Amino acid sequence: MELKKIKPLLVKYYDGSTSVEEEALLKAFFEQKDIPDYLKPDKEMFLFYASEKEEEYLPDFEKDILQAIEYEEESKESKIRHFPKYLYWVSSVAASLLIVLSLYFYQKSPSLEDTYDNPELAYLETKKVLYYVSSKLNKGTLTVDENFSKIVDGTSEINRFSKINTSFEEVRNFSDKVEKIENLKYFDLFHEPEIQDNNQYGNKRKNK
Amino acid sequence: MSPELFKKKVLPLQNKLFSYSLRLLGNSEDAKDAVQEVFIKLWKRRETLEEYRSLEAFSMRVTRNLCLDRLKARKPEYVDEKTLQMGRTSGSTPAEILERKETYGRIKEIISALPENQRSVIHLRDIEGYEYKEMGEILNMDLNNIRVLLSRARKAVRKSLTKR
Repeated sequence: MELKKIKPLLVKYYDGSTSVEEEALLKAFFEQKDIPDYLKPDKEMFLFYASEKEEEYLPDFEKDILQAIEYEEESKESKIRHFPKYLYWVSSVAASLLIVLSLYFYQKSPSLEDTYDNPELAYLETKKVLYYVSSKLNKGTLTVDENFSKIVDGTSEINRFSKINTSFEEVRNFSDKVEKIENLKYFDLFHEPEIQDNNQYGNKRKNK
Repeated sequence: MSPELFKKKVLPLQNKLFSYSLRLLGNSEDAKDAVQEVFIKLWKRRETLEEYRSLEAFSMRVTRNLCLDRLKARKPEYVDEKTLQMGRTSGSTPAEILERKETYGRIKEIISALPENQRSVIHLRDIEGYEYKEMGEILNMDLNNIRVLLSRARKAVRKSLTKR
């Protein structure tokens, strides 16, 4: 392509108004060998763009992308499934075992239905049970009786305090006797003259 | 969309999505990671994927949005380090740069220094060759806006190239 036609195209290019086809013409022009020096920067530029268009080969990139998608899918699944697969197994086995065992024990357990057809027999049976209960109850209250009698024994010990009363009686008799003896204070044997006592006191003072 | 159809129609877009993602994020590790996530998103929506007018444009749009989110989430130190590095190389004389680096490397740097929307229009138009209509779908912009951005971006690239 001639230089004359290229110049206005370049102006259009820098104005941002060339079409894709016109830009292809420019690229083709700059791929030529003899380009004037003042157009060298434009040449470099167009050659650069052309070289950048050639897609880079990325080894294993596609594999990486597919792996990333796969990983995403797996993590999405695991978000829905809260625990690993084997736990499903374990829990299902455990659940069925529980059902079987509970059925088994249910059938074995004594039923609560009425077992007596004859009301008289039922009455007697009830009476028997009540007798049994009351006999046990008596046995229980018997021990209470035993312990209670011990309390009574304990309190009988307290009755010994009455003996103190008799001794008090004796003391009172004694004091009565003493009173009677007081009345005999004029007898020498029991009487100490007061004057003699004072004298003694005075002597002690003197000694000090 | 069946898994078979997904493999046939969506999976081959991987290189285009990666290329765009690389343009936006700047390193291939991040770009690959982002594209994988894009595919997961697309896979999850595969039931409704056929409703879109252009599957490719939609996929590119998903890629862009995801990359923009990642750019936002990046620590500011990362960007600082990158721009600092570029500042260092641009401090050298044009001759040195030419000697040291390949021309393509330089242009790559120039484009990566552009604002994201200019980078996107350059990538989509001058490298991938999308029509304006498709670009409008990918970028969620009206056509006039795209033209203005494209003009600005192309002039900026040319200016940087002639400067050095």
